Amino acid sequence: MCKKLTMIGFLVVLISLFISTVPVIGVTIESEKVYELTANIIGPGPIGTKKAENIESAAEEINKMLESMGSPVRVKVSVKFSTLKWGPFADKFYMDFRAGKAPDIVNLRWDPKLADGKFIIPLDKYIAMWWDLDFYDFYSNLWKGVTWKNNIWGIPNDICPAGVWYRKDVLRKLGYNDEEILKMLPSDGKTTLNKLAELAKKAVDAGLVEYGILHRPSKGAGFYATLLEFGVKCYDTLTGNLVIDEPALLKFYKWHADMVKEGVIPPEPPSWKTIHATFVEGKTFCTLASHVGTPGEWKKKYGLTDKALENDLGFLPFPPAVRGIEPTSVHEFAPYLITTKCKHPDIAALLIMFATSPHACAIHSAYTLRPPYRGSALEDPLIKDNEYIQKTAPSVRTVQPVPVHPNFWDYMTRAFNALKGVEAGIITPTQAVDDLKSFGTTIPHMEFIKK
Amino acid sequence: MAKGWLKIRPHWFFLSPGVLLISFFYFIPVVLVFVIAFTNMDQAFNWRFVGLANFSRLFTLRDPLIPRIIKNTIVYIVGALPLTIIGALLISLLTMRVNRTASLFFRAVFFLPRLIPPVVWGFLWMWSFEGTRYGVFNSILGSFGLPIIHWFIKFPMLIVIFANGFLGISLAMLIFTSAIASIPRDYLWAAEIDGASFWQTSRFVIIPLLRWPIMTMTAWHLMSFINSYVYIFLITGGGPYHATEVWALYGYNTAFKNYQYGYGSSIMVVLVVINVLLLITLLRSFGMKKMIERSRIEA
Repeated sequence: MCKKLTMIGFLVVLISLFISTVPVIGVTIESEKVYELTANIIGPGPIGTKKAENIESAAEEINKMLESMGSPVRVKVSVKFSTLKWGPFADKFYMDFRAGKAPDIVNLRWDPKLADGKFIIPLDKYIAMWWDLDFYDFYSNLWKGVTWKNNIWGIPNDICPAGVWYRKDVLRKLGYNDEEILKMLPSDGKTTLNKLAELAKKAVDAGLVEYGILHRPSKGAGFYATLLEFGVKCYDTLTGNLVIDEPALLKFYKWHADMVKEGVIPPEPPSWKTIHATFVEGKTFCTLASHVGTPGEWKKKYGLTDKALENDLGFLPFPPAVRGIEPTSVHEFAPYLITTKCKHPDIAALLIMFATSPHACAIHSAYTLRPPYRGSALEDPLIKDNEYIQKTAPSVRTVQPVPVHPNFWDYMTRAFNALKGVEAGIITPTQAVDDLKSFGTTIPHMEFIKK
Repeated sequence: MAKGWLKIRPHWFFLSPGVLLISFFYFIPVVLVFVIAFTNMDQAFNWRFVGLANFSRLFTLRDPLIPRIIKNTIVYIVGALPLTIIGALLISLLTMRVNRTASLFFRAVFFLPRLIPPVVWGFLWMWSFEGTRYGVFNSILGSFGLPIIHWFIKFPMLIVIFANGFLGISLAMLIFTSAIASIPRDYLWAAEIDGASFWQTSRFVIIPLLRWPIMTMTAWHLMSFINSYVYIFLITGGGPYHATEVWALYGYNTAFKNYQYGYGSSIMVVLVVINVLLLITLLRSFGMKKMIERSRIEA
């Protein structure tokens, strides 16, 4: 309570300080002045809508404070929420930017090209200034995902650790009890991918499920995580270069080719809808295409019940496929970014700070069932009693960000296409690796680990 | 003044709206594509001139996908073009033989693909051949207790050939049917009196008289298939693993999916050049000049 009062007091002082800087940014204190800002926020899909609403709520909160202080200054923010996919949304941003219509705040899949191309401003100044006030309890690993060339360029507003979901009810039908299931597939992921595949094969052979294992139908953090399971080194943290790890990639593709032959993985990945629907219906044993927060979507769109979530589904980080690899979970998110076209970056930063407050974080978390991206949100009444969120929240602490490199997603696109070719039987695992090797020659400073 | 100018140059006045539209929407974009082809423009529209680097990547096969794309394009055209022309010709000939109501019905059925919006047409094919039990054909197989077939893996090129071929058939059929209907009845009666069968009449009377429509439709669809990517994009996206990726689609995917606008443009420039060369060749070999000349009574 005392801490909360101190925080409110601190915020009032902060707003006052801002008002005192108003003449500096060209506004007369006596006359009423409205600062108009725009924000373009991406879902993708409808699930991320609270990221947009939190920006609107932030403006309302700031205005209430200004009003209570008798200040004539107001903040008006016009927020556009988009359900587009990452690519088309980014296209629109770049076109808007070049046409001089860039929003002040944008929420994009993080790409260092944004920083290098001077589309966005670094936010270190604000993070340092408001660290003790607001940003102190953001999970430290999240900052890594938005750091590029020693600057922080975005504010995290979402987190969804990717991992493995499997059906316990299918395993029960195979004759395993809950204790045995937990022993075979512990929630810390300390098992092997082959164990998972073995169980999936049993479920398929017994006719209990249609699909043993389904992976994503497109590239994404989950796909990168499966590469890590095989010890594939895609990025050299020391040099900052991308890496083509030939022996590990070959193992990765061979395993998938074998799984298709065994009938565990289908030769063509089904659509997202089929993946989600068949998993919720119990016709897929295991999905590598989801994350901790996916049950939010399953409940809203596919009729998953709380009871089924509690009793029949299990989650674990991606288990290793080769020796010497630890279970892993990967995340990627679209941070709030401030564009270089923003005329009032201080106010935009203030808006973002309010939009990522512990309560705002809890609102997003409660709606999406994704774990909060900051520790103190777990105490918010909105999610304090939400067992699922409380249980899955620790998963955030151990997730790794996807590598920050301008060509990283180009690499993943090519690697994923090759995987589809291998699974479809159009190319062999060796040809898939050769394809990546030839791709590697087009990327500057690509490193190669030979056989 | 304007009235005077209009009096002197009326053709320019009436042509100007069309010329302006074509300049804005065809000529300027083509020029821009040529310019971009010499840059390394990316998704963020950052660019610098790179000279002939994009073309060198294409022609020296530093892009390992190029041979596969060329092969796909040839297979696709060799499959779709005969299907369109021969299919349309057969349907036109057959529907002219049945009674009027049946003829109208069958022609309407085969014309339907033209009336369906491209997205719907694409999704119909995609859904029909989906490799899960939810696909139309797999659900039919399932109802007979048969295992599902991964159609897009087993027959990807065949599916896109048929999807595009049926669209082509609808237009060509319309043209051929009109042309057959305009053949003087005397010729057909004469053949009938001489005892010619249906196939003999078709082979020796009708088809020779359809020379121009067949040539026009062949030229039209050849250009159309070389430049087509929309339906392939909608149905397979060029996959699985580039199995159905033709030249035009590869250019599109390179530019708009991989965000290599510069390299994608160079692929499209090659396509424009091929189009121009092909058009000239077709105009010459089909004697198009003769066809568009003022009509005259042939000896």
